[in-house]
Amino acid sequence: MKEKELRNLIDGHLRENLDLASAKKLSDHLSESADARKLYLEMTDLHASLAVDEALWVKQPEWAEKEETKTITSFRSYIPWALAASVVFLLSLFLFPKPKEDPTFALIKDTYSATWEGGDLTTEQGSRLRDGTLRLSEGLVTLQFDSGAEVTLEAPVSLKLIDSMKCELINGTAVTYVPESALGFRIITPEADIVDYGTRFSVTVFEETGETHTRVMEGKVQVEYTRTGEIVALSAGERHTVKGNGFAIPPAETFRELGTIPDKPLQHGPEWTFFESSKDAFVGRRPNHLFVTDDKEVVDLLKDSYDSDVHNHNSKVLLLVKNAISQGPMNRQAYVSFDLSGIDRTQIEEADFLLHFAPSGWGLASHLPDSTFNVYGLAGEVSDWDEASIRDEFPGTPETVYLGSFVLAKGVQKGRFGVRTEDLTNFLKARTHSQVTFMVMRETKETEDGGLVHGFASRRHPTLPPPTLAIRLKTP
Amino acid sequence: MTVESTESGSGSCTHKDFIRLFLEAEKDLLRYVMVLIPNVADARDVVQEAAVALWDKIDQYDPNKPFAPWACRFALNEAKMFLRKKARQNRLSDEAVDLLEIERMENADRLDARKDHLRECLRTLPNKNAELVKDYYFNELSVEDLGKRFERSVDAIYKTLQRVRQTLHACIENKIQMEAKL
Repeated sequence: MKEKELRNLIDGHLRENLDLASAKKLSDHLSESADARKLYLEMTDLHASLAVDEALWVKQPEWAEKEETKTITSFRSYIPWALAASVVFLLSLFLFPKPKEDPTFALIKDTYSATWEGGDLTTEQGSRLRDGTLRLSEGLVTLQFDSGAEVTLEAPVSLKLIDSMKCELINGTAVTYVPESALGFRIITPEADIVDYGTRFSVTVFEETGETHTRVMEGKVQVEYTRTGEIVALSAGERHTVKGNGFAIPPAETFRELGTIPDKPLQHGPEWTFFESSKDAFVGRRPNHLFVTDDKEVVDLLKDSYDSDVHNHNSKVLLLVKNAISQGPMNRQAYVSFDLSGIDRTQIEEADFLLHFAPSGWGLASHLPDSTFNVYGLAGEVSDWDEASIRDEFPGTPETVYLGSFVLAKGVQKGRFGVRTEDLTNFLKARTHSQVTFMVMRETKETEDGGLVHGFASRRHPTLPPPTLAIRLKTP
Repeated sequence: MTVESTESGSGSCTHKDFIRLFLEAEKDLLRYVMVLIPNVADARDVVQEAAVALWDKIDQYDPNKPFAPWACRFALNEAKMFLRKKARQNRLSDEAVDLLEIERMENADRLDARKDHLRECLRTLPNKNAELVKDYYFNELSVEDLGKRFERSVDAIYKTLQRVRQTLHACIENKIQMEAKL
């Protein structure tokens, strides 16, 4: 049988349209010829791999592609290159003047809503960096080291650059990608060195305590304790905490409010009346760990350490909002009520619902794009809910009326946001009950587990304004 | 690959362990089954059946040995049973099937090595063909839908898919030969 005929028969078999005679012909040929069986196995396995291996179709990160094209499977293949490289090197000694040594070893690759403070390095996107310290007070910044390692800094963070294979995280969160070219890339923290073996992981250092949290998303990482020399190996999905100096402050209590939010003047004249929230709370679980997880097993594990008395009632400062990849109590929405009994609702001309966001300290900003938040008004039967007893769900089944949306750009975790729409005004006019309640949810889902939990100030926040409803009434 | 026992006695495999092992091996099992059953939906059914058979026989599994080769024998067996049940007249003969089964096991490493080159070869396809082959295999569009989408007859789509597979096969062959020369 000619190869072309065999190929057509194999293809007919893959299409499942061989007739009886063709099937017999193919069977006979396969029984007789080892070469035919070889080709058959190759073609069917090619077909099967295309059908079942989703990984073939997923675009690899840039570094992985580079790495792949560099793959050389035989040692012998190095030899001509090695020879050529030696010749070029020897020639360069004689023919070219010695170039000045470049002290830079990294590059600011991307910045999102970045605000820098202090530091001794240039901070423009595209700038080359030498050894020194970067301090980022807001936003996200990705550094590309010449070794190939990529480090994304999540504000507030301070990082000392040492060389293309080393940096020191003084405080804050750094998410690191390490390709094969940068195996052994090291992040030094006050209590431990984190050494990467080709992977993606995040490290957070709490400056006050030196406590270091490591979480591995892919690959392998080694945590080397500075004091004891103890080494802990972590694999994908694992986390590790190094306590600092014995001052073990539970992460749930380390509220990292910088208190530097600029107090922008409200754009409201004297004809506006301001109402502060009379009640506010969030539904969903209070995070027990720095890295909020959506892994059901972990959530179940954490359940035991979850104290219902310190639900969100005791989370005095922030109302937390999250939209995780999976469903469950790790998803949170905030509810805010105002008592408007003092005004004539029919006279409302315009209204503005205002929230002050602040970093929650939970989850990774890198795992979230620009985030859209929706505000809904609760209509129909709204129960007289109790802040302290609210748990995973808001009581009753009130209707929701969409009132408007606002967006926090990637990396932005603080500032004043809200909605000022006609829908909001109409909603307020239409509700006759003295109490109005709003629900705030994040429409944007995280792109990967462990994404940022957004938070805005509750009425219990010590310094930031509470959720506020500004109302302008018709002038008499 | 070793299995940690958490529920039953030492050396045995718990249900949780089994699920992990099975999921890790699932793609390989599908590749084995598809040697005999080219239809991916049928192959998935067969692998599901194989999972039940595997769990029934899990006592026979030695946790100190790799799971996939052990499981693949069951999967191929299920595939043969499926073919018999279907009793299609136009199926491959028992003799051919038995030889293919043996040689698939013997050639596992060689076929894995070829598969490693497939991703790179896919990237060398012209855009139109890459799109077509991705829609067919990954997005699981039917040949009829692809015909409408690319404004071509069903037969032309089948022909193109055949040509793309030949191109990929040749590309892999080329890479294997280049490697051998070095």
